[in-house]
Amino acid sequence: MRLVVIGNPGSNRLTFLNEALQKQGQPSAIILPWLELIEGRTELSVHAQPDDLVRIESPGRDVAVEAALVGVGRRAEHGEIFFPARWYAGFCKALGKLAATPCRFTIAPSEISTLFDKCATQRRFAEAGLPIPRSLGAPGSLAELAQAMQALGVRQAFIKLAHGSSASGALAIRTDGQGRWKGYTTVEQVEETLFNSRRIRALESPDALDGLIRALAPHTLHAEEWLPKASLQNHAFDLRALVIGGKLCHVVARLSQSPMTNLHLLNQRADAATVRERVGNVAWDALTELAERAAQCFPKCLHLGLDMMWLPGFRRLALLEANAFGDLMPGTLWEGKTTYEVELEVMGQFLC
Amino acid sequence: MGFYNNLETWQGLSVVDWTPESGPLSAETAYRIRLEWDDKDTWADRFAQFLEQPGVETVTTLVVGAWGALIDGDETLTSVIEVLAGAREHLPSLTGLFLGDITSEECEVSWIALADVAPLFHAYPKLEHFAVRGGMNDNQDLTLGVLRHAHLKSLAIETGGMAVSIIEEISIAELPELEHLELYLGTDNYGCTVTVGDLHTILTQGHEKWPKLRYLGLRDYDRADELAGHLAAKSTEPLLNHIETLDLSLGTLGNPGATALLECPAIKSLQKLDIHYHYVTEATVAKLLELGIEVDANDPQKPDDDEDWRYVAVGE
Repeated sequence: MRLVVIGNPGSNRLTFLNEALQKQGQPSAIILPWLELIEGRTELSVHAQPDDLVRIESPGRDVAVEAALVGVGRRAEHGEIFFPARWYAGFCKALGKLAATPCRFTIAPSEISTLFDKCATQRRFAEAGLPIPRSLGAPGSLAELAQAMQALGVRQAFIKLAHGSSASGALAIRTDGQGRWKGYTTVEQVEETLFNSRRIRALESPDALDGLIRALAPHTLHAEEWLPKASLQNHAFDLRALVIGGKLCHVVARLSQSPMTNLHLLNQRADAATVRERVGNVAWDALTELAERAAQCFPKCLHLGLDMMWLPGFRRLALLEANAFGDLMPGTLWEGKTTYEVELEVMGQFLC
Repeated sequence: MGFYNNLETWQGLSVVDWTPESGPLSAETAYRIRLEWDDKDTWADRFAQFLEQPGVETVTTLVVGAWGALIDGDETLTSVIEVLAGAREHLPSLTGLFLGDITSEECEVSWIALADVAPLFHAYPKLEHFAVRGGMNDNQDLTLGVLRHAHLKSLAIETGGMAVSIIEEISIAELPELEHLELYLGTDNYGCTVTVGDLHTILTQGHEKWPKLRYLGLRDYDRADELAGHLAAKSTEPLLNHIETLDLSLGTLGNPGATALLECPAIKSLQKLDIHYHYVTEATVAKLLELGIEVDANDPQKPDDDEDWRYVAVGE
């Protein structure tokens, strides 16, 4: 059995994987570049035999791959929100081709498609009766959002790109119920083009907020209630919790003094031991149970990266997102092992 | 920027969210009564349940978290205060009360409408510790009333922009036991109408008005340099000689203010100077650390890259 990896050569994900393989005395993986697959220059069946194990890595952080998936004849500018709906369609097509290849995957391509659709992912959790923020649909304007919020009786909401990752295209928005609004966003609008920024902007004018929602709407949105997060060390926080082979392993807390906790916004972190000490064993056990139940909703995934949060008081949990490539957690260890090391150990017994 | 932490401890007690499952109540715990984001009942309903618990007569410390108006209801802080004041016979041991332990995740802090809190001082003559947070814009009607209280030891008001009316009320407050006075002054963006001149009575007569005063916090102020300059004047010397801790943290203190403090002989009579979250350069911080008193100069800030504009810690 050989390990074939579809990824972007030179990415740190492949470096970490090969380091883990080396540590376990295994040969390096066979790398199949996303770009060659997407451009049709090669096919998985040429490289993988039926008993090979195929690991699909993220196609992200590579503008050439992104441009090939989007197919509008140019590359994204730095930070540009670049046709995420087209990107998703292109990605699903590429995954579909992979799925037709007779071989074994660590994560089934169809599961990856679902996980890159925030609405579909949350639906699956909802069907399993797991706690998630209630959906507010896909608003096309501030008025539509306001109506959905009123119907649900909520005063604050998150709008995200349905197919975005990290805090891409995110808007946290709230109202006092008497016509006042306030929004926090990573998005910057330069004429017709939207960019993600590391700097979070606050918006108060309903016109500006409406303009932003209208500009984001064509990119396919997912809106849901903004649940208040519990606090740790004078920050609001949520968690990245990684389930591998059905078991909760790596956990890291992402601390923030803004509504966006996503790591790439340079927020601080806290380790699992610190969180556990703060929340206590009962809350920690509940976290473990919920994470593992969430992973059962995606049985064809060797690993699943969950974004989870406690509400203030640590009595209630919610699942915010699930990520197919949520195992990039450099520096976070579980029982002394990196995410990739644990995955390689479990992989032998876990095949789709 | 805003408030991110719910209280974990207050007045030396650990703060726990009270639920009907919390068991018998104790004097050694601070109980927070709060609504959660999807609660349909009111704060008053929750509090009524609390009052029926065994041991309620021993409770010393209450923390008021989110009430109805912050979730999706009409319940105002005024009605919460009415209910609290009306419960005085059930809470004969109450000595500590914190209103508005609400984080920026739960609500835009500047939208927390406050109220006339005077009924609480009348209802609880044994109260020793009182704090209130919220109402960033013009304090949204926070009023202390004519404050005369025989036992109050600490008073803290956390707003993002304090109205001058609060300073006027405090300046004439009769609080013979007051040891700790902590005010978040904020910025004019969030309704601060307090000038340094408005603080004159507190800075020049505070030690006479409140002979037990040990701690003075004039925090989160965007005129911190001007305030420090004023503190360095001769007229505030008696106050500085009298108190133990001067807290100018969370504001926009920079080199001009720090230099003024360095040149003020009375600063050395303090036990502690707290300026954490500041814009003072390293070289000047080093001089402050050589004053021979305890100095907290942690969390240095850098002016915003794009616009040379400093921020207070709490102003959203």
